[in-house]
Amino acid sequence: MANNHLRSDQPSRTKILNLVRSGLLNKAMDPGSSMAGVATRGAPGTPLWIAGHDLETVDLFEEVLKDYKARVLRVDIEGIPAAVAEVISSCHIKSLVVPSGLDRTWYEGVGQVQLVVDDGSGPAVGFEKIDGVITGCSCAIAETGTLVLSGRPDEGRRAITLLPDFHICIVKTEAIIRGVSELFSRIGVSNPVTLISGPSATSDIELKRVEGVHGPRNLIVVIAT
Amino acid sequence: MVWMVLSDMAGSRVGFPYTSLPRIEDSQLRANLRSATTAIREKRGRVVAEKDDWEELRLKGEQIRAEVLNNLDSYLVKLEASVENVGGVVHWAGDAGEANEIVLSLVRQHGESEVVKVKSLTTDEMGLNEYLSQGGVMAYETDLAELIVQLAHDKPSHILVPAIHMNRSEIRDLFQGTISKGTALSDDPTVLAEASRLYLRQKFLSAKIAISGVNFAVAETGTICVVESEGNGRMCLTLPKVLISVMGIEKIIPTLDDLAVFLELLPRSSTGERMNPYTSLWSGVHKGDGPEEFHLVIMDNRRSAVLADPVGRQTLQCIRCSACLNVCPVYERSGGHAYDSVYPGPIGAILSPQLFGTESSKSLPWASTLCGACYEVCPVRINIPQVLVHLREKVLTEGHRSSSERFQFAILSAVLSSGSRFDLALRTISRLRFLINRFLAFGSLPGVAGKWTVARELPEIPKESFRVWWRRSRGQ
Repeated sequence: MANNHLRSDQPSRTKILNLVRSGLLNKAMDPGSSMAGVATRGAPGTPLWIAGHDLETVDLFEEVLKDYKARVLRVDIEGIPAAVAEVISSCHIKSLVVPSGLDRTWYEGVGQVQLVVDDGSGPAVGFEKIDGVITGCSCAIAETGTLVLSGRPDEGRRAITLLPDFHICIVKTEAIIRGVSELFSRIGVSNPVTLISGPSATSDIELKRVEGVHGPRNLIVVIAT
Repeated sequence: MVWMVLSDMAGSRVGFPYTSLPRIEDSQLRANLRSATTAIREKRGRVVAEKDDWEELRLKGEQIRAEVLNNLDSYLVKLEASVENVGGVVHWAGDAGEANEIVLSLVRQHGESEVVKVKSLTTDEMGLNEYLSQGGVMAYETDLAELIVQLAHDKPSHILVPAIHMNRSEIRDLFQGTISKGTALSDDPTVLAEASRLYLRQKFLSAKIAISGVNFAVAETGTICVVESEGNGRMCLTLPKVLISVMGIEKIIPTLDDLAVFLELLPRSSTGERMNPYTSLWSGVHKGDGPEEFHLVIMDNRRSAVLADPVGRQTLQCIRCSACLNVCPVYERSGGHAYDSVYPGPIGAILSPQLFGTESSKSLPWASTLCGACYEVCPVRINIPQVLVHLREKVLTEGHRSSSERFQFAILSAVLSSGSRFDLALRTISRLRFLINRFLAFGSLPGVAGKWTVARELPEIPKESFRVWWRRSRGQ
């Protein structure tokens, strides 16, 4: 493919780089010269939610997730299968897709459910007919209530967490970090990475938040200690 | 001042004062805008206050963006190499026309006549949808607000919430006449979102080609980042076989750790959320997951000229969060359409004249009170008021000063530079006050000066000036 796009075939490349270089001969003003516009603090008054600062990381994660209208369950590692079974039954999930690297003991006991174990081969079209998906989670961010999926075997390819309407995500507490700044010391980008913060949502109509547009409309997070 | 600039363009009646006038008189529009901008300002204020290190983050954001711009040539070359290294194809476009051609020829190479699109200001700037349509390719917008705007044959009026000028019942009526024909809808936003979900799902599943913009491109790894809420972005970035992403040359971030700074700054500034629902990162082509072909179109379209201006350069730091729109008293009253540009609001008032240089965009540096609220909220600390003043000067020195304006300023300068001449002028005006006040009784000044009184009232001229009164009553 690259052969069709030899750099020498692209006169615009040279032109743009030359324009940029000649533009840079004019030095920009010193950006640090003015501190005007630096407020000492954000909005005045006591923030409504600032209590989060005192919370333990896991509790903070749970609070922020709930604020996004995600459902959160806290269990021991041994309690994962029971929690999964409870969610499947209470949400009336009849069909399920799981990535092939997910711990089988977590979903083996879910009973009468049509199960697809996805190893990443085959087309993505078809997953839209499946009710729910269960995945693991390589990293989660407490301050922002974010699940980070990075294509590991227990997370699977992107399409399986996109087309079904219920996403059940199992987060082990050791995967939870405090803030966004630590993110890229935990995960790499050799696979596609998706950051998920609550269910799909839009605020496009009168800025009213509506949960559920194109992605999963229900996000259920099982936090396992 | 703006009437002076406009007196130059007399007859053409272009520019912000004219385009904003009908919007300001539209009370429904003003109500929609007021409630929307108020709501989003409050949300942003709350989530920004949660971050103790917000000002530090802003400084970091500014430094990273400035570093990229000041070394843009080497970052562009580095990004190109990284993207190619992970299996992407890089295309360079000098202007919008060339970028459009590249995209259309890629679509044609695959024999497709339909594409799905993720909301992208850059492709709006290019007029890509119109270009594709002329070339026989239908581009479906998949972001809810962009879909609304496309169905209404309207134009976006806000960077982030393109349909901010429409309320729920207007949208319900639109859907009932288009994508939900024959179905009775309520004006509940949940119902309206569901209607778009049903309409677009088939498009996502059948589309072979997707077109997106780029929020950030990481030079170090060739990773592209797209930030969104609804999941339409993920659909477009994951399901079709071919992905074409278009970016301006300035959208580069050096490293992944730098990217983390912007993943904090952007959602809190733009939607007032701690994090937006979905952020997608991909590095070229990933076997077995997502598109089999990835094309990155890097477009200049006069950005290099903005870069060459030492004061204007900071404009390119913008990450398109739209926080400046939501705090701007002018935007809140005029709405986005008044700016007659893809980029409205304070950032549009400095970006549009530099990028497009059109007659109407030359009036935009005056579409501001210079109150500075935009600078205070800008997550990358673009000193918008400074650039506005700089551009005003530029517009005026580039020949947009009429001889009548020169004459007016010559007189003003002569009067104000001497105490005795100033005194004489005041006394003369007081003496002529009966004549002037009679004009004022009709509500406007005569001639060119009449433009000033179209929307303003002059106070009655008093019998004597303050200076005269002071000298008389306090004695000398």
